[in-house]
Amino acid sequence: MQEESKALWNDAQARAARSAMNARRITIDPITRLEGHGKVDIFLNTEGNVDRAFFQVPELRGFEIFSLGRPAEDMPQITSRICGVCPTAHHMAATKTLDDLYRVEPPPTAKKLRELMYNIFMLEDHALHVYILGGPDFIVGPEAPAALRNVVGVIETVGLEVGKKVISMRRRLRELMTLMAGKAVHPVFGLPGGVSKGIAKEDISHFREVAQDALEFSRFTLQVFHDLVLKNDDYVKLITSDTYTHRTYYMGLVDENNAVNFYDGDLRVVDPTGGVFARFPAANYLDYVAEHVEPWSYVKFCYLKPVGWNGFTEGADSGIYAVAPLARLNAAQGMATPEAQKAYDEFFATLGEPVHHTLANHWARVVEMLQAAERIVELVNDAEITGTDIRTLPTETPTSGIGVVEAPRGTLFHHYETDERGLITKANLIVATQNNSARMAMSVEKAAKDLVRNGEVSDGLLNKIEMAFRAYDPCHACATHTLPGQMPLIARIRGADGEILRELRR
Amino acid sequence: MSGRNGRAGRILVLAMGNDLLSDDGAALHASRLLRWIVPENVDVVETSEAGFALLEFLEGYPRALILDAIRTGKQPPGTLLRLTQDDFAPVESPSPHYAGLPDLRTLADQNGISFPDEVLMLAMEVRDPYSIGEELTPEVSMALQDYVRAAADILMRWARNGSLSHKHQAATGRAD
Repeated sequence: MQEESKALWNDAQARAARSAMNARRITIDPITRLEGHGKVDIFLNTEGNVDRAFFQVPELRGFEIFSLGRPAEDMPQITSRICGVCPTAHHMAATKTLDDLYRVEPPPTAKKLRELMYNIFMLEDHALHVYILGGPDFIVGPEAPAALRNVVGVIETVGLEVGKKVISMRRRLRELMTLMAGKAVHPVFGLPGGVSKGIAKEDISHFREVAQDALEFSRFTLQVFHDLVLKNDDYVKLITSDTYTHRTYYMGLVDENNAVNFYDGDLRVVDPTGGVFARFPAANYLDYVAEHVEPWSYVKFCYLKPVGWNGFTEGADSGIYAVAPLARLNAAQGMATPEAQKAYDEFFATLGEPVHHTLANHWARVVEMLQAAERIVELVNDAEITGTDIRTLPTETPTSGIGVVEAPRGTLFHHYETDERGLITKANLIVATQNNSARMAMSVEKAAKDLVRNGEVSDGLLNKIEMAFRAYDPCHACATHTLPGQMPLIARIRGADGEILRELRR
Repeated sequence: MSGRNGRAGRILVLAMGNDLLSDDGAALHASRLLRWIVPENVDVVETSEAGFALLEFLEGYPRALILDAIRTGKQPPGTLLRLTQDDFAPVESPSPHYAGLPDLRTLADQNGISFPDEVLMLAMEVRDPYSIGEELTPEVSMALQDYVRAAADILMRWARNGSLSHKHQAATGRAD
């Protein structure tokens, strides 16, 4: 056995060394460290009250440097490995960036296939969040005992049949994605100018069947949300409570009718009164999105460049904005499909317009599930979806490309520059959680201010902070795939000089 | 509903990690060698996914061997650890993205999903699962052969229908 595995090992090493790809790469390795923990820093003033607090978001600079010297067409694979939670969002953003880099327009069938894939992903991911990730706060209830505030508690509340439905629906949606993108660990689907594989005519009836069930499932989810959340006054009070409310700008992708679109379109930004502030193509993102760095942290906080950075403050004079489901609904003028539009109207009729309550993200997510499902049904019934013209071959020399999609957690930008051979010379990624980082810091700060007084830290601190940031579903991603699943939340209370006074973890 | 087609009577090797994060990819590297020498009734699957997605990988297999990198800091890098389900406490993490093994089993039991009767984890203690890069650290790289061999031994024993469900806490040792 030992000899055999040694021989295999040597052979594998030799093959890797010979690989032609290797010769083209300039790899500076390793580059930087990546922290997968949820980290909260709370800074106190000299009186022992909260001065400011922030939540640490992932630092992607390491991945950006890692990609230098690599072929641009590797980016859909490299970036989809950034995160074990939403690889498809990175894959699609990278694919669209390659279209732009090679100045190539995918044929209509390819665009529809991508949009289909993307909506399936969105629905599957949102379903996970509604029932499993956010469910403990809403379906089981924030006051329920910790032992029940998990998926098992959710299923006990909604019933076993529902639990089975959720699990089987997600599986069937994921199987469709596997049919489209192959059985790889990460999607092998998007190519500059198109996709690698179409849908065979004989397979489409299966897609239609799952699509119809997915639509039923989304309608059912809206009903569950109505029955369990909206009919409960305590939940509604919680959603609209001041702790979880911030009057900021909102950003999201919209189609030509200013309706929500996950896959493509222009970015639309509304101000804290709901008035349109900007509408721009992804290519101009650098005119609108800037990053602020605080001296006490390496975390970068995104803000709207034309408004400017005005500290961690709310209102029209502060460039802080939000992305994610709530922001998308605020930033658009409606949904792209009829049933989702109805749900959208009810959402704003109930909560006012725009909605500034962070916890309303959970409801907005349900509205988006409905749009994703309706769009899937439209696409699988589109005659072009089984077309065979799925790729336009790139012929231009690449220089620079910018792409954007709406990840389930919000706007995701990719931006690459290459040399004439298509090797990456610069990469910039802005993920949803970075877009939200300033607003998330404010949420953590509000929760901390309620619970830290004169140096005394109340025990409910971690719970309340968790509630605040779970609504954003921040992705601290990356290093946290493990099955034992240790993902400690660490809250550090720091004195006026930055020294650590107390550390809470779970 | 019991299981997925074709998994009954088979053994799953689920290799977990991210091969862009140095030693975090140790199990993936091992599985790429292991897959050539496993018995015919073994499926070797790689994943970088987290939490509840893993249920779909495990469903329907009567036995599963999980390979993963682990960093306890209590053993030298390269040490192998055998862990059974009893070694994992339910996770209390700020996001259920990071569901643990006991949560998956509970979810499966609750919903009538067939979950492996026997799950063994063979984890390698690593030095650096945080740095972005494709290379393993030298200690982990050197121990890779032992990792593959230890995994193959378990699979051979399982193939002969033996059981390894009794608990091994101790390390099986590093390279001779």
